[in-house]
Amino acid sequence: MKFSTAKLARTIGWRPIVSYFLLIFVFFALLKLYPVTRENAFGVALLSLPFAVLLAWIMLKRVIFPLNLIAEAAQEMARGNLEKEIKIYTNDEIGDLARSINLLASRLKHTVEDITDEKNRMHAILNSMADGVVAVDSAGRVLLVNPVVERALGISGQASRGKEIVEVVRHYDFEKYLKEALVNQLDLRREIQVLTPDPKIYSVHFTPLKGSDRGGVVALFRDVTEKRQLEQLRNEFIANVSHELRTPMTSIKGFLETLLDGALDDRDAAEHFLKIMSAETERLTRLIDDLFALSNIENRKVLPKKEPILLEDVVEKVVSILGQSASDKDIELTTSMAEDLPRVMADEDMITRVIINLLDNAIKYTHTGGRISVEAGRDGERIFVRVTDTGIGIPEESLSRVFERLYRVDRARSRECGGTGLGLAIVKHILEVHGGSIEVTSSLGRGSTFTAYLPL
Amino acid sequence: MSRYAFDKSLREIQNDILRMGSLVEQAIFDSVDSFMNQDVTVAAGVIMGDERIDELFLEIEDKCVKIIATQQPIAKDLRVAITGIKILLSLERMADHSVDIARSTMCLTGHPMIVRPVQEIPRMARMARQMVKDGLDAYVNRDVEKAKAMCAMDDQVDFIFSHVFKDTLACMEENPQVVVQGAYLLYVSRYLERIADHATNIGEAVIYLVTGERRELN
Repeated sequence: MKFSTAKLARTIGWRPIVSYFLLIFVFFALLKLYPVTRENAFGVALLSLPFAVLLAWIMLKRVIFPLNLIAEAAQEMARGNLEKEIKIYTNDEIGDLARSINLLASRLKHTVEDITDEKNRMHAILNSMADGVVAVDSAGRVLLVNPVVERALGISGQASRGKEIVEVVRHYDFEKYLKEALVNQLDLRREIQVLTPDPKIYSVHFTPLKGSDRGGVVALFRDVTEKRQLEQLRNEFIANVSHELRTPMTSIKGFLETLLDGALDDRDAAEHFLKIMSAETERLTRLIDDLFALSNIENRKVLPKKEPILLEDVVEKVVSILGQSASDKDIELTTSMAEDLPRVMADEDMITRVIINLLDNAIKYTHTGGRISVEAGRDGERIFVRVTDTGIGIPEESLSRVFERLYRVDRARSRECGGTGLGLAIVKHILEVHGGSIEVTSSLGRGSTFTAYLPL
Repeated sequence: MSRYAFDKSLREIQNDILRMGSLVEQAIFDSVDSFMNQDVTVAAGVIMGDERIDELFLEIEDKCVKIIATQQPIAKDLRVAITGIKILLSLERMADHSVDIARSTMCLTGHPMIVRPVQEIPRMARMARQMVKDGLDAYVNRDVEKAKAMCAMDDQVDFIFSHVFKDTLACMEENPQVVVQGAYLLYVSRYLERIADHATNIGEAVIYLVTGERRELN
């Protein structure tokens, strides 16, 4: 084993070496001096010196140096380094001590590794959870915030540890519920609205920490914004449908009562009323048909009967059906078909309906004397049909909503034209079940362009 | 009162202010939301909720006054108590403006909001809310830089306000049928602009709290 005397002096100190040396020196001197009194003291000293040095050397090698090594290793362990092994393999007490300490270190190392593993696993689980987690201790101070909550609430988990919850999640109700769960040790499920960074609704489940001496509460965040929005859409839809159904019904009922009250005898009036009733009934039927069609496509009850069809034929057919109403309004209707359009796999009836709806809208919302063009062509791996009109156009804020069920830019005008408010929703859904899409551009007062795409 | 107890009550005041701040942020959001969607129920909620904010205001103000009266704090401790009252006042005014916006919603029922500049209102509201949030964040963290940055946002709100004002006037001249809606729109944009101004006051209070300097950032 290599070591320098300077280092040895520094780590052990001079005192033990000197005292060992002196002790042994004096012992031998006395031993020698006792029987042979003729020898002088100098001779005795000279004689015992080598023995003393030898013994001291042995002592140093066998006891002091190994003990020093063990002390060093123990200090290393205290500092957290459990990798260091004490390399003493002797068969005495010192060797035993070294082996025990080595064993202690390796046991400790395993325990620490287990705990670290456990901690990492917990960390990984918390980090990869889709739900947000906030945990607080019994005093309401933040113990833990997982990345989902960090993102959702725009806070930093590291900076929020140990702070009071109100400093971290500034939300009056959230804090109130948390305290409620903490004080009463109760499970709570509440919804809270978070405003920043984006307005969102979270369903939060507060659970008291069980099996922990220090108490506390865990709050689980689940984003339910979309769910609530869908529910709201559905409620709006039901309200709208009831309204749409009630309007013609009220009218029919009114005329029926008038007829029963005696208007039946006035033949001219009766005929006029009946005509109105018939028109209203037709509107009701149309609405119910459209609702039915939409629901069928949406719920995938009716699958498209796909066969190779030629868009030219479909457009031609639709133009022949609607050509009359266009010319009634003095609208110039032009068609332009790209040559050699390939056939597309689609349900002919459904696609006919798409083009009818688009062209019918164009005619409805274009002034007398306007122009409408229907184009069909190929755009990469897609076939498109484009209906462009010079009509009243759609305001920008409504553009994204025109494909919603029963959404109308101008309720009064749409009803006047006999629309059900479902036409474009049906178009969108038909194209979607075909794997296609629809786009719209418009400028208010100048006209709109609807482009339907079908994949090849 | 020991130093520890004193610090604790100062911290408690700060947390109360944050609680009230969260209610005010929500009130601003709800009032503008009710105005945009013409939702009378939400508007009524904002008006009713203001009572709770007023109660909190009085409660926290009392705490501040009490600590000044009984502990006679000096230097930074005094500034903490004084800023607390300043921020409270600003928050209370903001809550009142939210109530004003909610009242406008109530008055507008049956008048569809078809004045074009209304599109700017959500953006204005978002900025005003962000300013309130940043102001309170700066207060919690004693962050002077954030307070300054947030006050700079006020210029943008003022800029949008002047635009909305001009555009609304133009719309009203063009189409006298929208005068009612236009008038309320002017009010609402003004309230939002005031809210942003009060948020700036919070920023100024934070700077005063940390540095002891008074600075006009508006």
